[in-house]
Amino acid sequence: MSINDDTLIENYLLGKLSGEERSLFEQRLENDPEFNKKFRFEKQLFETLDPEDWSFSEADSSDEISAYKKLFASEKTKIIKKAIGEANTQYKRDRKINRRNWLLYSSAAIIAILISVFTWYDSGPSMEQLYSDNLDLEDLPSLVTRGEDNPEDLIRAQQLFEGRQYLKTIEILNTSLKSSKKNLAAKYQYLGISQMELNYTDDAENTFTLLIESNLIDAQKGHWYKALLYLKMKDSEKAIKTLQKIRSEKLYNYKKANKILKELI
Amino acid sequence: MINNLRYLNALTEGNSKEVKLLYQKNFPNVKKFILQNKGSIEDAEDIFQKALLQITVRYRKEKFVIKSSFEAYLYTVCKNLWRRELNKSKNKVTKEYLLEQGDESSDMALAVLEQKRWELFNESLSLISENCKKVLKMFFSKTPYSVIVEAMGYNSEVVARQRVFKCKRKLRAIIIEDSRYNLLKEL
Repeated sequence: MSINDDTLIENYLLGKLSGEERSLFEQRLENDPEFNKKFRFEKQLFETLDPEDWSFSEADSSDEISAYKKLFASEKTKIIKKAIGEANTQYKRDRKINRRNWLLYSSAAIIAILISVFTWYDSGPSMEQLYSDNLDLEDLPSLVTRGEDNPEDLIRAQQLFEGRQYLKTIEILNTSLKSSKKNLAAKYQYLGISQMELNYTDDAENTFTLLIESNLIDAQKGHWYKALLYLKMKDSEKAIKTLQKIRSEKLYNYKKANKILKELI
Repeated sequence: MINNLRYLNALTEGNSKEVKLLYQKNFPNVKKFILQNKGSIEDAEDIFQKALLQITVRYRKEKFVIKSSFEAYLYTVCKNLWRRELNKSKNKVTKEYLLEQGDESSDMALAVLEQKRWELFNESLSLISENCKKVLKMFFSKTPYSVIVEAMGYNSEVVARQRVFKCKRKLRAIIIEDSRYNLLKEL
């Protein structure tokens, strides 16, 4: 086919020909079988490969059409059609049941949420309770270790801490931290807990972050104390998130974290 | 492709339990497509059933091989049947023909052969060079030449036209050489 004929057919298919050109074109289709054949193929290409269009059959009959027609009308096909219809009905029935169950589950979930929301409202004391129940000061390592430059200061800090004199503890520890990095993890723990007890929440959070970032063996304890801090602050969202982290990563006190989570959620 | 055979056999045997699995796996996507394209849930159900029937009958007649996954193929058939449905009003010939024939079997017979043509043309298109494929896809999607010129970096519309012409010639040659074309050319 010449590029001229090609363009002509294209313009016809795109409706770009004038009335006169159009009738000339259609006359040629009637009188020129070869051109007609080319046109039909071109039209099929146009319609098939246009994602918006579809190329319909223009044949009235052919062996292939008759054979398929017979097959579609056959008894066997009717049986298959019935089976497909049956599958469709079963599928829809299952979906309905699932939907009903889903409604049931979702309403149960909503009730559960409502209950927990209402529980949150009066959960102030219980979170405080969880905090004090879980703050185990017996578990702390000793502040005083061998080789410390100023062991007297640390002995003093330990005593003050045990006597709940947190402000003074903080003072000594801050000074000690400036001069020595020895027994760092223990210092951070004593310092952070003192700050937490005094409700210096930002400082406490900061200290526990330092502990976490210290890469010391006790670093993971930072998460646990942070969780306690959030409980004390009644920040349930952060508390739960931190406790879940402890539980899933099996960090220090993850069993206790799990217990608290059960109380919280 | 073991699953393909499993599904094809389930369909030819009329095993509704297995067919239900096909619904569970594939119907949601088809429904989504049809709802997004001017159809209703009833249309989606109708198209899905017709597609399954088309595949089954075709498999019974010619034991054709599904080259992709069964799921992907089923989705394509559904999309095409829906495209066909949407274009039916435009197609006078089919409409008159169907009015004369007045039965579903004829329509289904034509649909399966049209699907075969669609497959032949699209497979042929995938065989030509990437560049030609790109140009022709734009061309057949009715992209104006001015846009094709820009997208392909041609110098002028004349160059674009020549390129389209040459690519179409290649495509035609591939289609005509395919043994399937003989059965379809009278369609």
